[in-house]
Amino acid sequence: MNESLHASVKQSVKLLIVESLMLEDVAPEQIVDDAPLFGEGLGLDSIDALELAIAIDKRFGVKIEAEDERNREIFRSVASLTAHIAANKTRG
Amino acid sequence: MVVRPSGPPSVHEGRGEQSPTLDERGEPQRPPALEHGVLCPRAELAGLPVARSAAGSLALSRGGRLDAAIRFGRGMGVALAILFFWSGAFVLAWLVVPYVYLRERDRLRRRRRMQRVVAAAWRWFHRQLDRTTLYRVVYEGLSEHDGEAPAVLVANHPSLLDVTAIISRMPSTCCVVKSSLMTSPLVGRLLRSLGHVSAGDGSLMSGAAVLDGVHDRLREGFPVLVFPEGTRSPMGGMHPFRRGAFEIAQRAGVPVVPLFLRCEPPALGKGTPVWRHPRRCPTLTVHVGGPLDTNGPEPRGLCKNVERSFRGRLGLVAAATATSAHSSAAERPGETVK
Repeated sequence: MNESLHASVKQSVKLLIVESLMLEDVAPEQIVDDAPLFGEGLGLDSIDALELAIAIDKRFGVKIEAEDERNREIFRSVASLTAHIAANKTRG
Repeated sequence: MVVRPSGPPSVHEGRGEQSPTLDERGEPQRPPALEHGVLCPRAELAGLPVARSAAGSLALSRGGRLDAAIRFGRGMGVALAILFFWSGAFVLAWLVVPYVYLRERDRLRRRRRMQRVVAAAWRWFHRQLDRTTLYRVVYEGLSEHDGEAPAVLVANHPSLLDVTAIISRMPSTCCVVKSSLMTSPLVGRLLRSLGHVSAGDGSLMSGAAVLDGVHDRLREGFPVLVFPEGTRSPMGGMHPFRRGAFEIAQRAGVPVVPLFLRCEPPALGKGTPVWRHPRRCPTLTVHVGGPLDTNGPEPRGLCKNVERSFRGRLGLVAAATATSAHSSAAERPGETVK
């Protein structure tokens, strides 16, 4: 996997999280790569997950299916989300 | 022993001011005359074990055997009621639903008709529970036309019979229901015919289907009942609210109507065995709050505010077992969304 591509996707994922979810008290660079997104860590909820999935589709062209059993794994952290997007993205 | 004469529901008024002290079992202690005279006024008429409960408190000196018998009798009563409840639901699901489906072609009119039948059934069921002093419901602030316009009703969830109590008086209410019930062969078809919405399987993206389902109901003109805690409340407390209900209300442009529920003494709660039914008649008070405008505030903030107002209003109860609320938060099942 291309290192610089990975880093740039990671940056935009963090930006996307902060912007699309309107997190007011978090800056993109404050998000830790391996920290859990839901529950502890960032404390996102299931509606945040939906909004994030829509934003990711718009930005990278990566569709996230509702029935996909890997969703929990994909959405575990910024790192896992980045890996999934980098592997599947069609734009951005 | 003074037993006050039985009276119409007016005796329930003003009970909110009483602040019971709790004994070590967490059950409020009250003077016996108040217990059996005011709260279970019809006990003697019903001729049930509880009718002798005034004498039962005298029997404590005799080793509490009568007391144990009364408790056992009440437990059996509740078990019978639950059996009856499920049998009734089964009959509705497998006889009434097919009948209405044959008689009524239009989907929405069919649903309205089912809702009327089921609400009448639950009203009858609750009347029997009231008569036998096993469970009583008191409504506050409920006006004639409540539950007719589309709105998101949010409620805490202290007991098993919250939904039937609410639907008895607001027949067209659709609920977000645990998915295992929605797909159950026993009552699934009944719940689906009533327009209830499945809460999804708890997978990360299943919330989308719930949002869509609730949005459809609201657009069709039905009020939708959501328990923002996602499951029954822990004894005497509340799980944190999830914001889904408020999110949908805002998107659909309908108000949020809070229903403050309080069951005194606690009964049929999460994790309480049926045979531990309180000796004193449990009374569920359903207080219908004023509608909240969802146009302005951000759903996340609205959710926090409403949760705070619930905790404030139910504060008396919540304070007593605040610690148990914390400990059981971790046990909360992941089967419901928001």
